Amino acid sequence: MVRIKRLLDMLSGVVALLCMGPVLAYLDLPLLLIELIAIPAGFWCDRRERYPLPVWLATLIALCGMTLYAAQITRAEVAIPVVHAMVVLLVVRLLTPKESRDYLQIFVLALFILAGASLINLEIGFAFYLVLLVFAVTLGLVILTVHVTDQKLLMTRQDLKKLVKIGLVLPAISLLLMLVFFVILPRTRHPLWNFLNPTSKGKVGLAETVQPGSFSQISANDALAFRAEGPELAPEDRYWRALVLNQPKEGRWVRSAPPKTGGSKIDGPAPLTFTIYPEPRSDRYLMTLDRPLLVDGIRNNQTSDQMFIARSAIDHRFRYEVRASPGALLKVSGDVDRDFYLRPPLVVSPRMRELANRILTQGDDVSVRIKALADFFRNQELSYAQDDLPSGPNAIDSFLFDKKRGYCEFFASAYITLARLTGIPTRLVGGYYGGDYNPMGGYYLVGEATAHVWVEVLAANNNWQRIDPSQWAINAETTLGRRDREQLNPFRQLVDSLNYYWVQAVVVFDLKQQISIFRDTRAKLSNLGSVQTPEHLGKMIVALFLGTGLVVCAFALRRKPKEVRLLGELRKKLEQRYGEEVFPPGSGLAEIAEQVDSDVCREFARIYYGAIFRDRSLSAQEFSQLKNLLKEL
Amino acid sequence: MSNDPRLPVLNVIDTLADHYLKGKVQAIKLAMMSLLSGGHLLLEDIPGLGKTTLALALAHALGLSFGRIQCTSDLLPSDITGLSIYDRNENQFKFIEGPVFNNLLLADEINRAMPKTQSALLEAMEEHRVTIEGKTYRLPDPFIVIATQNPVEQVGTYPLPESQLDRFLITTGIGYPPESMEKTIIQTGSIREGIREIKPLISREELLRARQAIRDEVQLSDKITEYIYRLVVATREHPMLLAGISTRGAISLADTARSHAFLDGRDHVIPEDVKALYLPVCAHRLILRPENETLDRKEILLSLLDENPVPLV
Repeated sequence: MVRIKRLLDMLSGVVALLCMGPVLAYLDLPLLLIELIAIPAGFWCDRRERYPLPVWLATLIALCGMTLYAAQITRAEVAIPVVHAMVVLLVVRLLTPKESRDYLQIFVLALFILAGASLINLEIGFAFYLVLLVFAVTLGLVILTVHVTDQKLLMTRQDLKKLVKIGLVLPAISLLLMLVFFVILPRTRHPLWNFLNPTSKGKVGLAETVQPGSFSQISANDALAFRAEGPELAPEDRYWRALVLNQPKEGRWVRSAPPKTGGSKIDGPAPLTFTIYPEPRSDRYLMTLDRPLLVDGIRNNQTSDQMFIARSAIDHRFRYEVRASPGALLKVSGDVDRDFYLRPPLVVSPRMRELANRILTQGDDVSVRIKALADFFRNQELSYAQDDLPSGPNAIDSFLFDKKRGYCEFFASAYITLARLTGIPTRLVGGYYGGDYNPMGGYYLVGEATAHVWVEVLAANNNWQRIDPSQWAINAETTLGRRDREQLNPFRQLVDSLNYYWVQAVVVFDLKQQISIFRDTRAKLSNLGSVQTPEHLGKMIVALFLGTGLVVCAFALRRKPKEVRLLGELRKKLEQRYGEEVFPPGSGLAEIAEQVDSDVCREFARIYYGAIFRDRSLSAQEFSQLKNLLKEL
Repeated sequence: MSNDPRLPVLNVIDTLADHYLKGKVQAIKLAMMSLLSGGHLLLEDIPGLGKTTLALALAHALGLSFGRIQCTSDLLPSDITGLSIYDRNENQFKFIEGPVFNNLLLADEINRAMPKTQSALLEAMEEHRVTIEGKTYRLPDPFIVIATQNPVEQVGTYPLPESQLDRFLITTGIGYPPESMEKTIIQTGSIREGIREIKPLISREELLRARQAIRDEVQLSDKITEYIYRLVVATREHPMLLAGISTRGAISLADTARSHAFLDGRDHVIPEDVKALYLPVCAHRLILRPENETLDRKEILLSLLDENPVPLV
């Protein structure tokens, strides 16, 4: 025997735990701890029926918590304070005596917290918790309907099993329906609840300025920047381009609008197509593979220096396609405003100026100077590092000549400064380098930690040529592109693949995709021979429903034990032959056999009784014997 | 001698039914089942239908020691149990065993005996022992009482109270024989003479062996147990009944159903076994509400049989 109330207590604990899953990382630590303690404590209180909080105090705490978090609500941040306030309410509910409506409140609060979590984060974990919570809450509601009638009710295990079965079938069906509705229900370009979170914070973003030496150590950032689905690339082609910086300003490199040029032409091998799934971010720069030709799937502006900027904020998940031709040459037709790309920083250390002058003396040819610069970088034996960095206003100078350690921004800024001093038009390109290829999903996983800066120089015949000064570091082989990122192990690969498919199939599923699915389906359907008219479609749908119905019926029939099926057949045969009243419920088979005086029937009764009244089920042989007897009848 | 413990029992039934007690197969079978289940039998019918004949025939055919009491209103308990008599030669009291010290005891017209005598007999039936003058004597095994009574006669009778009726395993009537059979009987006359010539058809050992076989080999499945339980509970909840079947009644029903299955040559009890014995085993145990005294107990039981579905799956 099981007490219904005990079951509800357990379920409310489970529900409270499940709704915490997706918001775990966003909760204040003290509240999180209180919540985690409150769940077992609440269960303990329910068992003892002793509660630590008097009702007035509980109400007071709830009010205080609500006020505290309500005060934190701003236009920019609605979800997290609201979730916090609801967690406070949930904790209070868990720790106070519970009646039917209190359980209901716990369930509703849990659902609201989960809904709130969807405003914060929509990773695959959300789906996992959602499904579990739907199951738990439905089960809870079914049990609650019983609990309302009698609070002290005891249930046998068998009854309970039945109840649980019902409680599980309901959400299973509704989840299946949800799956169908998810595909067919019309949707907007943006999530409906987006207005609740007007400026959802982007988690990541490229630095829009490059200022080496502003801090002495960069911290490893494990966040994901984007995923890029496409073929695997050679290591030298894994440059993900986002942003071009072209002007020095107060010790930093910033972007200003590039001068108009006559147009450019990309010359290279056949372009590849990559689908990019960026994480929500605060800027509008669209990641592309270097050299990008075209960005499709999002409204964007292309700048003359191959940057793609979205027209609206990238604060939700979406995807776009990039056509790019890695390794292609970018040839500029017409004049380039060389002065714009030759403006050096105002302050340049004497050692660097001296170096530049030395290179200038080697000749007028740009390619010679580029080679000389490369040689200089190699000879300096610089190493790539993320700590113990040069800092201060003379950081670049210190990097080149004294400390000789730094990260990509040092290399790139040092290079651009020297290049511009030696009369080579140069610009900085920001983006990412490398990324982990996930063969399971066929995509690159590019982390924030692989953010990178390199340069482009305008070589002799008006070609913008990519140069990555960081590659000249003596330890470039081992550090670059895989900074602080270990190769993903198979398990993490799997988890990431799942998350990827989730984003791909669910989160970014929008109107456009929906339309394309319908179009595809229609095209496929119309290809099925001459099936063209909508009437045929209707017939097919009816056939589909009938087929499903048949399958369900067959399943239901199969589910009946063979004894029941045999008896049903016997009853049918006897009623056909001897009339309706031959099978009253109070009669046994042997009795009926005597009544209708049939030897076949007697034999049937003998074999059938011989099995079930020896407390065993029919053997296969007996079953076939009985089947034959039924045929004889 | 065959190994099948059923054969001697069937032999008794066939012989008696075919040659001596024509048209009383049902009663003979019930009597044999009562014997096999170790319970007592109450034959209840109007005089002249062969109650005593049946009992005598059984007694002869069974090859057991046999005692008979003709109950009257002046019958004393000691007439049944026996008594101590002073033996002048040996100068001490000597216990003379009464008719109760037999395997088979026929108590004819039991409702004519005084309640005091009745209860002495019924005590012996239940306990299988008698206590006389402070000393307890065990009764032989098997010990079976076949009692007869006339339900119609009222003058000078002491009807058995329900609590004592409960001690009888089976109560059955005999009924009139079928027409053709009765005509033959009328033609040939009474068969009392013939009965004396019946040779014992089954030995005590064979009877015990059959009992053993029933206990060990006949399976009472969970479904049948459930069925019996439902039938018994139904009588307890019936609005017309003051008291339904006791647990002893339920045990009796199960035991006799086993015997029924045994006689039918099965090693498992089927619902029909239970249904066949529901009335003989249960009817006399029911206590009707005073306002329903006139109702037939058997009709109530038949309606319960119809209401409770037979377990088939």
